[in-house]
Amino acid sequence: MELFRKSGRELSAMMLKREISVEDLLRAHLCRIEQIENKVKAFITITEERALKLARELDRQLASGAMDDRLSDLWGIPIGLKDNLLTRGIRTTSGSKMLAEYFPPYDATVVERLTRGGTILMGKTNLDEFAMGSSTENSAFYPTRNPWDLTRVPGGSSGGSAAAVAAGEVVLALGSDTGGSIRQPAAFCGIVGLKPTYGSVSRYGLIAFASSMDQIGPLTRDVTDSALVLNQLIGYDPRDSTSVRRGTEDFTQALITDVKDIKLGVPQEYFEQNIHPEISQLTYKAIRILEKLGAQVEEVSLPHTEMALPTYYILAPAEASSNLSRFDGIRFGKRAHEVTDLNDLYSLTRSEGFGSEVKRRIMLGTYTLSVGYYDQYYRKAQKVRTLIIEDFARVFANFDVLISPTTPTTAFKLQENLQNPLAMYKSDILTVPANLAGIPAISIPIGFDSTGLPIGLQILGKHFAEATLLRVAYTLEQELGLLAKKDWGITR
Amino acid sequence: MKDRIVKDIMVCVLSQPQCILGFLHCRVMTFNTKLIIILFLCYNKWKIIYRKAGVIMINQLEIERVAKLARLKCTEKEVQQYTHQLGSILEYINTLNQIDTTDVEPTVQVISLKNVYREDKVQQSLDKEAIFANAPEREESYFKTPKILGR
Repeated sequence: MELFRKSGRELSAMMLKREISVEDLLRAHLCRIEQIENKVKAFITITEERALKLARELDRQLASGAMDDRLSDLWGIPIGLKDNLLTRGIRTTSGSKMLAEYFPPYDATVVERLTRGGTILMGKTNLDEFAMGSSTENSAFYPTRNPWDLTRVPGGSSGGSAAAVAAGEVVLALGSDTGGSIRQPAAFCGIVGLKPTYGSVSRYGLIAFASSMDQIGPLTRDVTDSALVLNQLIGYDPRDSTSVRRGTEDFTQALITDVKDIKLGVPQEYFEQNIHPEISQLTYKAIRILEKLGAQVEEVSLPHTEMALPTYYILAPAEASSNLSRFDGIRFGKRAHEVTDLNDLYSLTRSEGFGSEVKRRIMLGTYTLSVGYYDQYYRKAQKVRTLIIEDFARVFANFDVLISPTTPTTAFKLQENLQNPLAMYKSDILTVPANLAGIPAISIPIGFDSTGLPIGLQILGKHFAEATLLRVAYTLEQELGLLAKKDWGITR
Repeated sequence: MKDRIVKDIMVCVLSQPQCILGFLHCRVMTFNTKLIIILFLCYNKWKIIYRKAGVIMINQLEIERVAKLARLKCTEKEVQQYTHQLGSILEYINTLNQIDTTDVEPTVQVISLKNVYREDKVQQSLDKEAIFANAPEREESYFKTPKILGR
């Protein structure tokens, strides 16, 4: 099997056994990038020189022999970072013209942590501008394409990260998930995507979209790698005031095939959201597999599911309109020229710098927060959010995990939903509830539709129950045996 | 509902004060008649759409007001586009009104964190030059802006 099809854990073991060097591995991925990047367009910036230098440095460390005991499981692994994660001295655009020439003065905490773990940054991946979108078509640079079918979208907003992993350009990548932006592209690209519990991973250095929901997480080729990345990412950070202080946990302990003690709920409302029949069939098949392995399965009800999406589309744009007010052309980022006064500088800079979806959401958020509408929209949405959280609390009193499809459809065509924002928003219908409630959720590939496009299954858990999610996901992954059958990368 | 109509009229009146003021001073008609005429004019000019239960969807004038608040400059075409698109998004969002939330507390945060403080201690801050490297314009240790008052 080619190196670019292997998982991080396998590759890391090969390097430690000196079967391959760090540079060999990096070159295998660079070679892959050369082959297909002009078709997939997963990256905004590729940091080849820097990566090669670091790989050689790591090889020297390995040769000196003194390092072995302290190596992390991801040592020497080439990774991608969504381009809304700040990297010191490396251009970070957030997919926007506003930040087209922005070189951050510091690293995001997650970047610091992965660097300390010995990973090698291969490049910054494409995204919908400021992470607003479900197809990566809202990037100010170019759309990314789905490696399984180049006429289709990779999902979004972490579409570049998902496509890069699926196409074998990097071993794993980080994304951010505000309403499904890790899980939906993971499902569309046939990989694993995990959104951790709100507060468990520091967001210091993540360009903010909707702060009450944003969360950083891994996109990986298998469940094992997700556990390895979580081991690096999760932990208290005083620089993020929403960071939660908890004891350390080794998530590789959760990688066992055992669901006998698991009580599994199947939320009926999630199957009533115009889910493509092939997707619900495969989801039910996976549920039956877990049942056969001893999990106790029952139908459950989350009555306010229907209300999650309208709630989200009040709260997320409202928070975004506030967060994005910092882009004023004064301290960093783009500045418009030929202005008459300060207000003109603000509005011209913002109108030239933001793309149409970002403007649309700023407008929507400004409207729902403006005098006379705050109670009708924002406050109302925060109340309905309480009801959605209570739905989950009721169900999780009796169940360990919930299982649903990740998306109502498989990857759609480029342009298909671009003119109709509302249709695009509905792609997130099954993923936004987890963000509203702050609970962890994972999407894993469970098969393909009749046209050969990947289908994802979503597992939702209680706050800070990532280990349980990983155990159920790992069990299903091993049982389905898709990894051995699956042909990574471009199939057509 | 009534407040809304009056508010919309006020917005219309304020946008074209010179002609409306003249109109209001004319003594031939009663105030109510004037009100009806203004309402009719507003309806035609800005196509205020009154939907079921008296919910007013967003109109072009309101889009312009919001754009100003958000410090965005919209072209004529964008205003039309946003009026249409935000209208249908708001209509969808309004489905929340089906839910009775009388005794429901609004969510403040999703995990049970208490106030987070840190010690008031001087710490190493970011490198000044690295910060200014991204400034569109600077003078010594200041960010430079154009004149704040008009020319």
